Amino acid sequence: MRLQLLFGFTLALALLTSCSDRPSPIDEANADGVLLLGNGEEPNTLDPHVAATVAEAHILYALFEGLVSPDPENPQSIAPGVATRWEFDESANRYVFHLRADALWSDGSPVTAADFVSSVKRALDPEFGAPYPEIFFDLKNARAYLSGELDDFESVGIEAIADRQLEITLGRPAPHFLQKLKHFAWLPVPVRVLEERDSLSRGSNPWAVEGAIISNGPFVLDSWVRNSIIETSRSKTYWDAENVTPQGVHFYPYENAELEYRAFQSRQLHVTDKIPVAALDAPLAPPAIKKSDPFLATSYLLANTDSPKLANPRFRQALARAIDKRSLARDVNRSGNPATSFTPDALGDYAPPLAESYDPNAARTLLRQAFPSGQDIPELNFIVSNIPASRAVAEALQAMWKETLGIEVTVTNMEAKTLFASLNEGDFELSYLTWSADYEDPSAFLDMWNSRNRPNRARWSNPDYNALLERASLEQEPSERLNLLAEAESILLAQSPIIPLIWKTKDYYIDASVANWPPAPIDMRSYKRVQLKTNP
Amino acid sequence: MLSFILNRLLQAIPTVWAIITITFFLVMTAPGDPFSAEREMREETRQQLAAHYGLDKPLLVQYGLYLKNLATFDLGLSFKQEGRRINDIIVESFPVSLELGLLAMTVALLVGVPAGILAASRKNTVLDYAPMSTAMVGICMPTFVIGPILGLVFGVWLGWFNVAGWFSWEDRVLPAVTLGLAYAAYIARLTRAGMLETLGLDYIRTAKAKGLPEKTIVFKHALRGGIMPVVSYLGPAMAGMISGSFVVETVFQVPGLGRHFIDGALNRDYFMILGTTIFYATLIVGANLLVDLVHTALDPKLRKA
Repeated sequence: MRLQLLFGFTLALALLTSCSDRPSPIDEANADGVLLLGNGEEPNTLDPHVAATVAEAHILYALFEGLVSPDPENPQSIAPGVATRWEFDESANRYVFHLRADALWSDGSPVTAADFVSSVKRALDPEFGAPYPEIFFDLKNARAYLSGELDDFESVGIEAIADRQLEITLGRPAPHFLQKLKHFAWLPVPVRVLEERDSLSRGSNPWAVEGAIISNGPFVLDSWVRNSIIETSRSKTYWDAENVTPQGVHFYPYENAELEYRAFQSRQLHVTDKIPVAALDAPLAPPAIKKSDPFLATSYLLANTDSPKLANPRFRQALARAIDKRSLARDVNRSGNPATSFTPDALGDYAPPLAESYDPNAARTLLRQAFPSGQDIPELNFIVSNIPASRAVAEALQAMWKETLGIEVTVTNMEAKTLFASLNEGDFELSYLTWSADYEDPSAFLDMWNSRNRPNRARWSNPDYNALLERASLEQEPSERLNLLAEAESILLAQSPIIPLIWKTKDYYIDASVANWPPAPIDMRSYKRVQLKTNP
Repeated sequence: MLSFILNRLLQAIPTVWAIITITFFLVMTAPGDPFSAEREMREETRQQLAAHYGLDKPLLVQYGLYLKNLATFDLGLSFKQEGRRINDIIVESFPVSLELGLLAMTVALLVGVPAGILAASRKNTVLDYAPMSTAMVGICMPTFVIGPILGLVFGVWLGWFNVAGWFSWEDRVLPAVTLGLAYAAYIARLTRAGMLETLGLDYIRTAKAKGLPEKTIVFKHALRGGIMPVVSYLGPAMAGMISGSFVVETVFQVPGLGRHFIDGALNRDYFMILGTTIFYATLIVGANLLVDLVHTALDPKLRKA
């Protein structure tokens, strides 16, 4: 009886919804042509050379424009940005970019080739400490300049040969160079203004803030209220201003997925950043649409190969083959697809090798081979972040290993910073993490395990793997390069310092009034052709 | 009186100093650092940043420097909001928390006091049990439960308010009610207890015997005495509302200081944690000092103690 009353009450309330004639924020925004986006978290900075998070990148692509930009209709491909066209001289491994004459900063001054040179110089300055210097390593001598081996920036392969002509010389073949060029670390900053304001170094006078920022993109920053909103509006100085459809983009830093979901339900947002796990199966009333786009991110199990317990590859393989990834993706994570390789299969021509599939018998055999006496099978410490979704996956894995292999695994939940400290100090045996690509190329997944570049958290080092990656980086022929990368990845999968588990999808809600919002596999997009319909 | 004030001020200083010192060493020895993240930072970059913020110095030196800066009211730089001063962040976000606290206090008093009076004057009837059991529920239900429910009902279903944000006056309603209700419940119980005690006193019986109307007895004679427990509760309640509003701020996306406090701790933003803790500590110590002074002014007996 009480339940019926409650139900009746709920129904009555739901009916009342239609009685409310208050225009929703979306209705008002559609009339004004302003796009309202849920943006995951509060950005730390809007300086492209300091930015490191996806939430920051979302805003940077509204405020700035690089030499090339993500194609507004298809973010995976490349559209001209400040550069209208470019030539590539294969024999010299050299690009010449021709900059458009009408590209302007928001203060009205022209964007020149010299701006790009001084921007790269700032980001590569060893004193500066940019989070993404690797993105420039294809440039001749870039790595040496960053490490301090070369003092003279002139020796780095970037030069303004005219006001509007930029020459970039690569130090190695890089068929994916233009994809990397889309990355936000390549966005230009007005260095000359920064010098005047003493804002050149990190942590000095912030320049990328309300009222002070000078940018060159389709939108300009109007206001930034921390933990509340970032408002941008169409730039008057942008070369393509008349074809920029939204009048502005507002970014809301909803960290809490449930709150973002409520905001979307009450029509305060056009597009959400995520979907809370609890709402994955909830029915949606139009005009809300649920999306699940391909996404270049893989959740994986990380094994500490330095730990004597996990030094034996057979033991790691046994762990891998005891995991039912299909069930993990479908029933536990309830989003994404079972991962058969670390590199997702959504990467154009690259054909990733297949990891050995789920096979409890094979897993038990491998375990017996690793521990012939059947004795001394160690207990493992599995550290995960205290996010409910990660905990659920860890506990499911714990149960699978217990059932198939009879192994005891202790799951320890940790708050993020404690987890990263343990990972960096090697104080763990297993962990569960997600890696998302910075650019659309398999090397964005494979380079991180090359122990010659820098140590990885698996503490794994394999000379064959490293050698194959080096060969791939010198290979001119694109298809041969991909073959070498695939060969390297099969070593990674066989040795199992990491075990790929789930290929992520980008799950979000979008209001039906939004048109021209194509999938963006690395979550970097241009907003300039997004359309808002007043009567969807 | 002056010596009393000076005496209390001198007592407040070591309290704040102890809070600063304990927080400093707890924060600095917590696992993790401001720079660790999912994506590993290059070791060189980490060292540069640590040097920039003086984290490469011995802990005691850092402590000394921090105290030195503090003497000039400089709370240092935020790690997360790179280049921003903690002072500026507090100046920007504290007014929001203060506004939320004041609005919530208004809600708490407007709801709690009448409910308590009603319950006391209709003791052991439905009009007593109903508000008092509601108050019990209000005390037991945390704001992170009430907040989303209010958001769902009045934002999503009824569409009367936005469920998130702090832009128009309508946006103040749900956060203020959520935060206010928890305190309203407690105030209602305090009012009821105070009123019941007063209503049982001789002078009230006299008033009744004289045939005064009930309204006059309750509001003119009983309320003055009955409200006293609420008055002494207001100080700590206000401090609690201002410093404890971070849950409500998170539930409704209110850009107040509480959010920075929590984010500071989660991000190991050392100076943010220290700055907000010191600010809150000073606020609470100051509020208590003020309450003590008011009490002393009202009750001369305390001055001798």
